[in-house]
Amino acid sequence: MPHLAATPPTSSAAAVPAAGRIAFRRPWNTPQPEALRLRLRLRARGVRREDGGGVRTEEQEQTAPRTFYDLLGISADGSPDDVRASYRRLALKYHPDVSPPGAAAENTRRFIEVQEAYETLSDPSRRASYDRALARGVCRLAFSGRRSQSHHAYYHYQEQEEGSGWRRSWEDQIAELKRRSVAKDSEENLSWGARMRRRAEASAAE
Amino acid sequence: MAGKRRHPAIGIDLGTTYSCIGVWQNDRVEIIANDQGNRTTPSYVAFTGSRRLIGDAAKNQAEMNPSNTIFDSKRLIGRRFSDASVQSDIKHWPFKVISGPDDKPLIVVQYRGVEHQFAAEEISSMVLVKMRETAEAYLGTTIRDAVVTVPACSTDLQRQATWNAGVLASLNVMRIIPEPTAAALAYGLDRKSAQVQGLYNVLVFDLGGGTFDVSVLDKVEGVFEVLATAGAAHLGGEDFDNRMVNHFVQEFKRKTKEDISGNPRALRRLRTACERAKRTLSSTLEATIEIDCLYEDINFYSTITRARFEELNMDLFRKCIDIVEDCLSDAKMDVGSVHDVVLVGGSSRIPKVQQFLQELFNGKKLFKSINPDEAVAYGATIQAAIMSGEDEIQDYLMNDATPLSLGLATDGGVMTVLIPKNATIPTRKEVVLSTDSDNQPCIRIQVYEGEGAMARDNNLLGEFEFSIPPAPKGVPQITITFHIDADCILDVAAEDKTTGEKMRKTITKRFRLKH
Repeated sequence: MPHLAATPPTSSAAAVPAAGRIAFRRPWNTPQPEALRLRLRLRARGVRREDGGGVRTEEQEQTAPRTFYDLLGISADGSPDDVRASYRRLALKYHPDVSPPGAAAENTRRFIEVQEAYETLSDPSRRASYDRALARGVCRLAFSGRRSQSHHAYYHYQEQEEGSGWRRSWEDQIAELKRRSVAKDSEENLSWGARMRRRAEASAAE
Repeated sequence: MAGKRRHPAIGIDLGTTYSCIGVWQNDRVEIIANDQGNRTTPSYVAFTGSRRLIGDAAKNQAEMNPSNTIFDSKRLIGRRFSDASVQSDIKHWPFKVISGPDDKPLIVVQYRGVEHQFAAEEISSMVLVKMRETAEAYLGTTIRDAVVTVPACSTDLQRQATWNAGVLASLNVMRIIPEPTAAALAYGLDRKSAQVQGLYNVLVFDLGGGTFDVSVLDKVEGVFEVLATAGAAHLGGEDFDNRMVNHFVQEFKRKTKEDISGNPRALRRLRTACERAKRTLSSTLEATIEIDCLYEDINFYSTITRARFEELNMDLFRKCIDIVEDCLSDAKMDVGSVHDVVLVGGSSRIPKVQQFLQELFNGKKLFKSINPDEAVAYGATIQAAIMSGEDEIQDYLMNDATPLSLGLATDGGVMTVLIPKNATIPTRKEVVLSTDSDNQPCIRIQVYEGEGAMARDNNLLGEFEFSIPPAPKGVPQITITFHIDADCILDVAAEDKTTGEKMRKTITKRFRLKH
């Protein structure tokens, strides 16, 4: 396929099937702008999540949560109270009732992800199963393969419904991810959870 | 946060017997009094030879015009004429209810000398118009956006019909929320100054005029979440009044040998007196009934003690406590874990009810600082303020929950639940289905709502067929995804992984907030 030639040569062999899937969904015949190339990588990561493995570049690590713990911003040994408090704080941030109208669709999706992470980690038996899967390395990702597939279905519908609006939303997400990456670096590489705890302490001190 | 609206948003408690309205103003909730100076308005509509009356005026003339004075429309809204509860209610109402198209109950009245038939949501919309006009008169501006409440155990059809009533009343209904949820918001904001860190468990005990709701919620970091809900659609002040009415009908019969149980006007006058006496008994040990010319020039004078009133209703009070225990059990919580019990609804003032609750919770002080008649409207107003992006309210959020389980009919008509009762919304769940016969040409997707183990015992919300290529049974892999958004709109999508074929259907169509 002609567009395969456009794939950067540094891509790992695992990217080849990803490119195939991308071709299936959206053929590209011209070199992609920066934003679209970044999107290509993000989508490729989604595809690899279905395989449950694959090598990731450092940039990819920084741009998306890898586990439910990362998503909630807590450490792997966080207590049930930590799980609940973090979930509620994120709910205050992402619930559509408190979102600007333009961000409601995206925030709803994030809310649902946070909700799933909370449901899993707040149930002791489900958390234990999840931790065992993480330890075996077969499920380092935040979401199961089925959830990942659901993501694709979701994007597909969004694309059909919103056309360019979908693209704009996606680009906003990319910008947000970049911004978070910068913010993360600027606070001396503190983990997300550490930053939140620091802010909470600052609020308490006021 | 959403930008502030040009017009204020309001919260409306559309009650079975009384309704109440609030507006967010000066960084707090204001409960608005109506043109009679009352902060609650009877949910009554009356039709006379010359005009239509709503609220206090309608209720005040009920004795003179019983067959054309409509109340309890909330008990009909979203229901079918053939429902057992509707058939039971009809026996107690002085107005006429008939079966309309699609088994829809219609209320028959004489209005300006002509017979009219109204649907329940049309009557409820008249009450909502009265509430909206009350708010507009108070604020001096047009009102459009509103949050309206429903009982926690409402079905989807009942919520939809309530939504329709709002639309008929020229309201943009931003959200339909359960009454206990609204009350919890009221409680949470009222206690903001005493806000505690960490987990806080609240039980909302909502005993109103018509329905009884219990909810257990927790609050962490300003976010409320519903853990469990229970209730009875027919348990409240009206039921207590009925017991008193029956008691006095028997007493009148013993004294005069006359049976007034078939006389609508006499019953209405007796009921009004009983309701008044019931209220008196919450603060005194005895109350009097005095009705001149109750029946054929016979006067009726009597008294009732609080003890007798309690005896008449003891089984109903105990039923309330049983439901509280069921709700705690559903929430996997013991009474010792509950930090506060919040009383909502006028009937929660009944001393014996409060005594039973305190005994159940080992003497814990019950939370009463918000007027129980106003707590639901208070909370609905807070929700309206949250959704309007009011700055002072941004630390609060209500995570709402699905009132009933949602699922699919699968092999042999079994209900397969995808989204369980009390699941937090918005949410998305999926399940993979296959075929049960070779070369099956399609899969029928039937979406049900309810708690029955068999789909036919539940409420069918919608259905569609998904075509698939021929294959041996058990081979196709069809992923069904349920997505409920924050407005309780359910999208159902089907996807065949092998062919990439997709299909999607919005099961519940609601009116959306217009931006």
